[in-house]
Amino acid sequence: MIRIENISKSFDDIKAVDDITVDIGENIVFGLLGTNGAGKSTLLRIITGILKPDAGNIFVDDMGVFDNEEAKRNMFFISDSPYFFANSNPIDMMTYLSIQYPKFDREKFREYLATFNLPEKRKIGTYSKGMKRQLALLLGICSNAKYLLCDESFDGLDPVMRQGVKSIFAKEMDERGLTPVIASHNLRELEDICDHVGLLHKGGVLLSKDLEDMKLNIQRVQCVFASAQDEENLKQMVNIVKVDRSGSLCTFTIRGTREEAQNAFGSVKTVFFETLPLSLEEIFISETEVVGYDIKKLILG
Amino acid sequence: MTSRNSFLANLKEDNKRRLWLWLVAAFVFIIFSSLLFLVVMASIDENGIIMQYGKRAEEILSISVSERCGFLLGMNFYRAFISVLFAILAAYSGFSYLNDRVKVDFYVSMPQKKSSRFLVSWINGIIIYICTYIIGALLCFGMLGAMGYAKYYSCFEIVKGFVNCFILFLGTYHITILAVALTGNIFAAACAFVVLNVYEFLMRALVNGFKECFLNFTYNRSSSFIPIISPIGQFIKAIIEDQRNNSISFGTCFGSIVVAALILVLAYIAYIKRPMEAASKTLAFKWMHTPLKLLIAIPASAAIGLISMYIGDEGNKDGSFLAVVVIVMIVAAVIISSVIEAVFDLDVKAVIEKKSHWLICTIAAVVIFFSFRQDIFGLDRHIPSIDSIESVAIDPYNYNDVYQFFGPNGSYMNGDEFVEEYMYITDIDPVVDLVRLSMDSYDSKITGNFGRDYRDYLRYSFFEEATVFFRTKSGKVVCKKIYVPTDDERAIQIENKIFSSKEFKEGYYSVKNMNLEVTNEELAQGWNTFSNGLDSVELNENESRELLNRYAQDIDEFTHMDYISESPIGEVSFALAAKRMGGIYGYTTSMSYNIYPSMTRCMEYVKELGLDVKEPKPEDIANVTVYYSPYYRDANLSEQEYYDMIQNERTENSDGSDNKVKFESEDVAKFYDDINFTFGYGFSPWGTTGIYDGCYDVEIELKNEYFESEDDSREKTSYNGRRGYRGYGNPTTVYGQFKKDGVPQIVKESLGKE
Repeated sequence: MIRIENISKSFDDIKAVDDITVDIGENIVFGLLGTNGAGKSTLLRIITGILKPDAGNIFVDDMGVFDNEEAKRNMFFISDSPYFFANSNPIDMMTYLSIQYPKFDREKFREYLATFNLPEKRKIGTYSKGMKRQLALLLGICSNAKYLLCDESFDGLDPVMRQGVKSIFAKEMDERGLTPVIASHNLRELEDICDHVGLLHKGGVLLSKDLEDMKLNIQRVQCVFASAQDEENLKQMVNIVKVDRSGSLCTFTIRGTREEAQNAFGSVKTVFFETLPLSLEEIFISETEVVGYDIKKLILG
Repeated sequence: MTSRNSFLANLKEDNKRRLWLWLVAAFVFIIFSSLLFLVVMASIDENGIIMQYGKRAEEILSISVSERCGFLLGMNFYRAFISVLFAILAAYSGFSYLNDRVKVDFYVSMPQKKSSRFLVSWINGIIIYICTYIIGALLCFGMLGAMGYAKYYSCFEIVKGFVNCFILFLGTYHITILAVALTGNIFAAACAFVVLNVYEFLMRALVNGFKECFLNFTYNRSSSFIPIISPIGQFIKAIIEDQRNNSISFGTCFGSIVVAALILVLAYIAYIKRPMEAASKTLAFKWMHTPLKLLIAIPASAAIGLISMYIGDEGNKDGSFLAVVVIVMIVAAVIISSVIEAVFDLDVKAVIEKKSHWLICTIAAVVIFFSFRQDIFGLDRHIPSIDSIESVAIDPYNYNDVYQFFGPNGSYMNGDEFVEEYMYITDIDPVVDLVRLSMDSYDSKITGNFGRDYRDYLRYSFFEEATVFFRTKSGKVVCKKIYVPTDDERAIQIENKIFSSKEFKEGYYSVKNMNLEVTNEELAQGWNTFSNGLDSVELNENESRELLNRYAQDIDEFTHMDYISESPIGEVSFALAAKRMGGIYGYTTSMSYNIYPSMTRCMEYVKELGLDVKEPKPEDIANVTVYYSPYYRDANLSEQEYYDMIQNERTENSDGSDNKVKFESEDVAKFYDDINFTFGYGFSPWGTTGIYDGCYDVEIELKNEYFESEDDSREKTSYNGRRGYRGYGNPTTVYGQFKKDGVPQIVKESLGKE
């Protein structure tokens, strides 16, 4: 488990990360969502021990991470611009990383290279941008590090590759408890991969929740009330996030389970009411609006 | 995998990344150096040397091989230069990743401790240097052996060269690592490298420049310019020692290693403490901005003030000029401070930020400037108390025309170095008296805001220069430069006491402590001569040794009063063979000593050799030309008169015809007795400016009959086959001067100087 406690980091006068406290559990895909400049990369670089925080602590499996060889051996960081040695090929990179990560699985790496159609003897400099990202991901996966920290690594991958990587993640999570932490500025890139999402904005955490919990705990109900008094009565009974009105048709976004929503609406007089499904995007819109942000501007582009 | 294996594996991987560095090193140290060595060695014309030098061919060949090897293989600037260049490349290739965020992310995220990563990169640079250097040196030595020249050059010289170049490499390597670790981009790293290398050099030059400009009696030893915390400075020191003693002192080697180690520690700390987000910034540590800026801007502004002082110091040193200098310093402080701020921020708009620094820099620069100008610390006249002085040494410049000094093994030293090393005068009071008297006399004569030229005129007209070293009991050495008044009777008495003393002679005349040890092989054959002003004759080894011995005995009895009252009758010169000099320069310039009439042993021997000068009689003289040249010599000119005189001189005929007069032989008899025949042209050795009238030079052309009457039993082989003083001037001319108040009336009248 990665425990982040009250981490702050400034660059000159700019506060990049401001008092963040988040726990990243094991064996989940953790999505770190935020706009450019939200502090995602800085947080990942602090987690991997590249940057030293101005304040706060990071523990990876209860070990301090800064300049700690043992803790770092549990982590592999793929930066937004992955670095490969000049004139090297995938095998050269594998050789180097095998020294740094003694558990590096060379066989598996070669298999994955073949699966993803990445020529192992070709110079990486001649690879396309997408191929380089795939290679970096495969190197990270095969390092057998427990935590794989990816900075914007999925952005720009084509759907087939995404699906391929996703299935490798699933397999590795199943086999050895891999915990990918994926930073992205695009919610749509994450929604089909992540189990848990942390939303960063201006260096702070707006929210950090399991997607399932979020889906279960927020509902959208359309209804037409019999009278204005019924509407008032309902408002006393539920935790309303948002209300949209179109003539007599009201759309409520409320907190609580589906059952609680149905019970509440069932206890007042309505012409009709209906519970509607919410997309991840809509859930985020609702959640962030609560804290005063317009997520459409923040991350949906 | 054990950590040792991991270290070796990392070393191997690091080598793969630095393959290009191996190639560069192999090219420079092995291929290029070997080829250059081969070409240079092949240029030795062995047959030509044998034909030209006969039985001395072996010696000449040895010198030739030694010189070439010394230049390319031993301790030399070629090896030093390529070592420095390679150190920069090696350090940058190993640590430049710190300046690239992408690489920092990659390397620093790896499970490897910072210390281990540092060690791997550091060691690899050293391994590459050592391996290629040694292979290249062995290859050259192998070629030397194959050519049959190995016997002329010792392995020790190669090892010495390697050790010193390696230490220089280490120092430069560490400075470059430090420069990279302290900065965030290549431009800033290059600037930091330059600053770290030259800062102490420049600071020392600045302080010495201020002393030179404003303080009259402080002395800047040449060693005071050599920085301590500088690998290049330490290397220069080692080269100087090598040339002087033909060996490197353990202290210098140890000092160089300590400097290199100290810089390594700083580089390591900077590397470990460096925030990784510093990549692409100018400075890695933000807290360094202000101190660094002030450390550069303040001395630079003060230096510009000093330079403008030098440039503008043409007889204009009043308040208005000083105001101009202050304004220049203010402008400099603002500009330099602003430019540095812009460089640090990588933003030209930053030039107008931090205006408070303008004020700080200006005030500090002005304070530094005026603290030297007003000598607020009393540095200028400070001499240790007599009780605290253990011994003193004094170097009167060119006293007795001695201007070449040699250590016991024949190595060249300048006069100050020599006396500091060998002179231990324990009768301290006369020296302190002379120093105080000189300071007082100088201050009373040269007062007011005189221009530099006029100051120099007064200084050279009425004073002689000397350096004094006070060695205190605590081990400190205080140096003073003094100007001894030439016309002060008390000063002459004190000089007589000091310069006639045994301790002075033993510490001033190299002949007293080295020449007697010279072997026949060490004397450079063909370069030992006696010259009597007209002719120069070669002395053989025995004659050289005998004259040298006699000179050493005569000088014991020779007093300062003898010196200022006599004119030398000739000069004996000695040169040492190249191998005595470390094989670098070949034959050295000879050391020369004047022979005076009161040196009875030498005079007797000179007569025995048939080399004594027959002072020309009036009938031997064809004509006499007297030159009047008042520049620097005329007495008691006011500043205005002095500058007027210079102005007039400039407008005179270029051949100076207004200032010379020629007398034919019949007129010469009228003032023959007033001529003091001197050995050589322009005779004005130390202390004699108070005796002879320096405004008049007398040139006496002798009749041909004078030479026909000479004893020609001995071959006269003058310099370049020419007769005359050191081969210069008219071969039938001798020189003379008039004493002060002894210039003949006829001469004055003829020159219109009545």
